[in-house]
Amino acid sequence: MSGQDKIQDKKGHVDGALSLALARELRQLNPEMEPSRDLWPAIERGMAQYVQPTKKRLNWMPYSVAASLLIAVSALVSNVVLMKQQTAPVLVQGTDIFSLDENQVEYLKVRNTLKDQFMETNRMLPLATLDDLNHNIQILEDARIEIESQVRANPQDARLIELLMRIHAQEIELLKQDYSKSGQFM
Amino acid sequence: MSEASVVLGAKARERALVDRAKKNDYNAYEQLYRLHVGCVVALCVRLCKDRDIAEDLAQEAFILAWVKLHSFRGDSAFGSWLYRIATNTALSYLRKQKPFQNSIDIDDTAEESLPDGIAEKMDLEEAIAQLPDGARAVFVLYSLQGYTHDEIAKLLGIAQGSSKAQLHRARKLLRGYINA
Repeated sequence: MSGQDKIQDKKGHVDGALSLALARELRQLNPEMEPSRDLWPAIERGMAQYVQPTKKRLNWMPYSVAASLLIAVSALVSNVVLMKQQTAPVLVQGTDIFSLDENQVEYLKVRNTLKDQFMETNRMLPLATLDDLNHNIQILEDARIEIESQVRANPQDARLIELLMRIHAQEIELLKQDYSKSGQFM
Repeated sequence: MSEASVVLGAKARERALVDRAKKNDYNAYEQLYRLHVGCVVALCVRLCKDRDIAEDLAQEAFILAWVKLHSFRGDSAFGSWLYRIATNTALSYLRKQKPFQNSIDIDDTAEESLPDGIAEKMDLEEAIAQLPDGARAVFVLYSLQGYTHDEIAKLLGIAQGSSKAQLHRARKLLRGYINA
């Protein structure tokens, strides 16, 4: 080994030892330093300007109600369209002929009472949700009126009468709901 | 109770405190502050040298963390997230004072030593404080906070090579202190 190599080797050795010493000192370094004053009061004052945003609950219920009702109404409407295209409707026989007026009076009595109850029960819901529910009720009502006019024109069509009964059941089912209990709209 | 279960218990407690703080619970956030203030102050002191300024920066970091708390998803430990905020707060302060150089002129063959008057062996803490700003920031972030050169380069707005060179420079200066 030449003299130059010996010097280099010795220098490397010293550097290595120094690095180890530095690493040892670093490990001994205290990771914490206590502040000279309590910072909390000032932090608390700073925090007071900001309020953590509350996590918005997912308001999925109105949308699912609206979606399911829309699907039901669409199915009913498409059935009506299909029936209009049919050349030979299924007819009700003899004494079973449907009396729309009689049925309508009975139905509207029940329906209107339930609607009043529905509005009363759910009046504490947020305005947007109430609007959404009212919109769904309106969709069903429009569909019912449409089918009623079809039944009036074809009082012996059993399929139209069946559709009307189905939409009555759906409307009643919706109006019986008490969404205020679920707490999901709040 | 094993050490692992103690650590897990502490993490669970901290997570519970974070959850409570997210619901505007000041008491929970104060407990988080008490848990981490020492490390946050140490980080700020080492980055900016001045104790009073460091405490102001630590204070600012805790307020900023409160403001951003809703965005903390818990992917990392709360402490790591908080130290990152404190690091950014301190670096932003330093940047306002004097932008970090994108390239550094260091002649590795040149003899560089600690500034005059500190040739004697001193406390490592003091020696770190005596390092030039760029070298100190890289050394603290790399050797004490565990950042990578890539992360440091992004944080300081310098090239990765500069970060490595600054670290080399800092170690060389600190070895000088040990050798004194």
